[in-house]
Amino acid sequence: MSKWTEYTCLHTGERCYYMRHASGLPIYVWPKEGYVSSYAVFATDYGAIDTAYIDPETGKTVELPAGIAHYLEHKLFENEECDAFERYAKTGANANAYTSFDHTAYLFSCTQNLTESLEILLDFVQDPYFTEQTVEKERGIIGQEIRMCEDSPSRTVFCNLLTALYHRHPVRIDIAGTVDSIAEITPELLYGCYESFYDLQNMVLSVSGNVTCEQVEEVADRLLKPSRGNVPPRAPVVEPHTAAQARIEVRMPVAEPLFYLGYKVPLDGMKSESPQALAAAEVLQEILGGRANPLYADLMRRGLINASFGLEYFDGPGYGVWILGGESKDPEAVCEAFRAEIVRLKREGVTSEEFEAARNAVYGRLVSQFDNVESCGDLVLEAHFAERSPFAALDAVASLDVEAVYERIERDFAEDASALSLVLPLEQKG
Amino acid sequence: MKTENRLLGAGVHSLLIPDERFKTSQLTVALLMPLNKETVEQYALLPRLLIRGCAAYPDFTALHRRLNQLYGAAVTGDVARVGETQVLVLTAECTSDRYAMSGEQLTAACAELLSEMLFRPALADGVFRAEDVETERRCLAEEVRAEINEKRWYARRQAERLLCPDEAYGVGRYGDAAVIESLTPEVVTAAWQRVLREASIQLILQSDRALPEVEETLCRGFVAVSGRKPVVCHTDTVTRLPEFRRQVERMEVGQSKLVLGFRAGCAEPETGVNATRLMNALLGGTATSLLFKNVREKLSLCYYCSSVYDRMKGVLLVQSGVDEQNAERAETEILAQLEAIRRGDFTDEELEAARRSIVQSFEAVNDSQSARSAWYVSQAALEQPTTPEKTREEIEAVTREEVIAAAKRVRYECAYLLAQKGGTADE
Repeated sequence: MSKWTEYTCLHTGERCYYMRHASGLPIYVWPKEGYVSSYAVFATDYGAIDTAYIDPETGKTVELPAGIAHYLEHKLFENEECDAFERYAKTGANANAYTSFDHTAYLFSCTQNLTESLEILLDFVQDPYFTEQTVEKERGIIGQEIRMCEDSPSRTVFCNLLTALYHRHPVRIDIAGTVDSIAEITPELLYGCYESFYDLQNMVLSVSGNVTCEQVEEVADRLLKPSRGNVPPRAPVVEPHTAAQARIEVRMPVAEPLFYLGYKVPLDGMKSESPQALAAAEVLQEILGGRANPLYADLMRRGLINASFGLEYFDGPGYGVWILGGESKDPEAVCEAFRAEIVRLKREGVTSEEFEAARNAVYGRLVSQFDNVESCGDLVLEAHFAERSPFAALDAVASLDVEAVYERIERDFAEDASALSLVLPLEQKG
Repeated sequence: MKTENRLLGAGVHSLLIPDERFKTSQLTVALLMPLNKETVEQYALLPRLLIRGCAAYPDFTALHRRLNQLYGAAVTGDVARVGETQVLVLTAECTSDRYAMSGEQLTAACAELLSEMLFRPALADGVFRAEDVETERRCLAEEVRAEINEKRWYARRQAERLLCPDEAYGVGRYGDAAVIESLTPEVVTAAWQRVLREASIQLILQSDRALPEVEETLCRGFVAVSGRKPVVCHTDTVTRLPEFRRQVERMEVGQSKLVLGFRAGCAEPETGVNATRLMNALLGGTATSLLFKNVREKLSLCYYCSSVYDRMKGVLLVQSGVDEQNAERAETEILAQLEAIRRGDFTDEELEAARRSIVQSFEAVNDSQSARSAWYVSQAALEQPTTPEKTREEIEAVTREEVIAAAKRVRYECAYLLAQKGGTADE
C-alpha cells in the first residue's frame, strides 16, 4: 500500500486513496464499505474551451473547429473491431461519456464484473481509431444532437448568456459546436487532438464504491501505456472585465419567458479559484438566492418567479459567472429586485445567524453527496483537475469566515460585467 | 438487509430502514389516492401547499431559515403517477445527527417539521391561506404550461394522451393548467381532509439508525384522523383503442420527435411483467438494445431511439428524435425490431446483455436512498409489494420463450410526430 497516499475527511471519516501510476496517470480510489455498486471515470483535462493545440512536429499552433472535443468523445467509443458499448454489453455495466467546457470523461457504473469493465474503459480510451468513413458516419448523429440542443430553450438561454458575457474566452462557444463547424472535422484533426490532450499525465482515473486499491492497480499495471510526456498548457486568454453585450434575446416556442442574468467575475489566468473562494461562493449563493432570503418569498408573492428560479455560481479555468435565472412574466422586474438586494447586502451585510445557517446548509449538502457512489467519483475528479485535495471543499466550508463572503459581494457584481439573456415566446400572429 | 413492511393499522404501512452506510436521513410519507380527472389537480397542488409552511412556521422565510440551520434540511412535496394511482409524496431529508458540527438533533427536528406540515398546516379561518393557494396554483399552472419547453418530454406526454384519451392515465400527474388556476382554498382544504381520511399510507424511514419514534409520531397523526377509511386504488390495464390513431403536430422545431405508443398486453400484478421488462430492455432499454444498435447506430436514422415500459399501466412507448424525412423509415425499422423479437430473431448474447443490464440496475437500488424510496413508493400501489432482490431473481429466471411471448402480446396503437412547421408529413 506504500504507493498509495491516504486522504481522510476530518469531518466524516471518509477515506480515499491516491497514487501516480508508473505510466504517469494519477489514480484515485474511494472504497465505500457495504456498497454493492462501483463507478469508474477516466477523464482528460481537455474540453470545449481548448480550441487550439501546438503541433509537436512544426511547433505551430493549430486552430480547431468548435465541437471537436465532443466529436472526439463520440468517436473514441469505436475501435477497429467494435464499439465500446458492445464490449460493455458482456459485463452489464451502464456506460456513458460526456464533454464539458474543461474536461472529457468516460465512465461506467456496475454491480458486477468491475475488473472486466475497467479493462474495457482503460483499453478503448487508449486506442483511437478514426477513418474517413467512421468520421463521416458520426456527422449525421452529432448533427441531430446539435439540432436537438438548439430546440432546448434552457440550453439556448444559457449558451447565449455566455456568448453575451465573454469577448474572447472560448466558454462563449457551444460545447457541441455547430453543424457548420463540425463539417470541418477530419480524422487527421482528431488524431492531432488525441495525441496532444489524451496523454496519461493530462488525465485522471477515479474509481469509487465496491472496489479496492489493489484491484485498480492490477488492471492499471496491465493496461496503461506509458505517457508520452505531453501536458499541454491551457492557452491563456486575455478577457476584458466588461461584458461583450448587455442583452441578448431570441424567440422560441416556450410558455413563459426564460431569463438568465449573468455577472462575469474578474479572474486572471486559467487556474481554478481556491477552495476558500469557491466555498465563499457557495455560501453567498445560499444567502443571496436561497429560499431563506426574504427576496425569494417577495418575488413569489409578486408573481414574478416560480420554482424554476435559482442562483448559481458557474466556474472553470479562467471563467466564473453568477447566473440568476428561471421563468418569469417580467424578467426585468426580477433583475431589478436582485440588483437592489445586492446593494442592500453591500450596505447592511449579513447577520452572523444568517451566515451560520447558510454555511450549515452548504455543509450538510456536501456531506450528503458522500452517500452516492457516483458523486464520490466525480468529486475526486473535479478536485484533481482544479488542483485541490479530495476533501478540500468540505474543509473550506467548515472553516469559512464571513469576510470571504463580503469580498465576493464587493468584487463579483459589477453592472458593466453583466448581461441578460432572454428566450421569449413566439409572437402571436393575427 | 431486512426491509419488513409492517401494517401499523389505519391503513398505514411502514418500512423502517436503518442503514449505517448513509450520512443522511430520508423520511418519506407517501399518500395513495385514485388518479381521476375530477381530483387530479387538487391532489397535485396539495403537497406543494403543505410544504410551504405549518402552524409552527407559518412564514415561508422563517421556515427556510430553520431548514438551513438544520444543515440544509429539505422538505419536498410532489405527486407521482403510479399506474392510475396518484401518489402524494412528502420527503424530509437531513444530515445524520452524528455529522452535525455542534451535536444538533437534526433528524428528530426534521421529522417534527414533516409531521407538522402534514397534520397542522398553516391555515386561516380553517382553510389554506388565500395567498399561499394563489402562489402555488400559479407556480404549478406555469409548470404544466412549460411542458412544451422541452420537446422530448412534451412529445412523450402527447403520445400518452393519444394512447389513453378516455383513461385517467392520459391526464398525467398534474392535470390541466386552467383547472389548477381555478382551485380555491376551500376546495384544496377539503382535498387535504379527504386525503388524510382516505389515502393508503406508506412510510419509508431511512436513517443510520431505526426510527421507531418517528414512525410512531406519524402513525399517531393518521390514527387521530376521525372517520379514517382508506380507499382502494385500481388501474385499468385492459382498455384498447378501437382503431389506430396517428397525430402530426407542427411547431418551430429543428428536430422532429416520433413517439410510437403500444399496449404491452401485460401489467402488474400479472406474472408476465418481468418477461415484458426484459423484452423492453432487449428492444430499446439499453445502449446495446436492438433499437439503439440498428435504428440509431447502423442506419443513423435518429439521435436517440429508446423504449420505456410502464408495468403499472401496461403501456410501452418508443421515443426517437429524427429528421422528418426519416420518420417513416424510422417507424418501419422500429416495428421491424419488435417483429424480430416476436420471431425469436435475436441472439442469446443480446438477450443476456439486456438481462445483465437490468439485473445490475436492481442490484444498485439499495445503494441509494432516493432510488430505494422511489422503489417502495411504486410498490405501495401493489397488493403484494416486492423487493429489488426478489425482482432480480425473477428476471434471472425469465426464459427466451417468455420474452418472445411478451413481444407477441404487444399491440401497436398510435403514432405521434412533432414536426417542423411547413414540413411534408401527413397531418
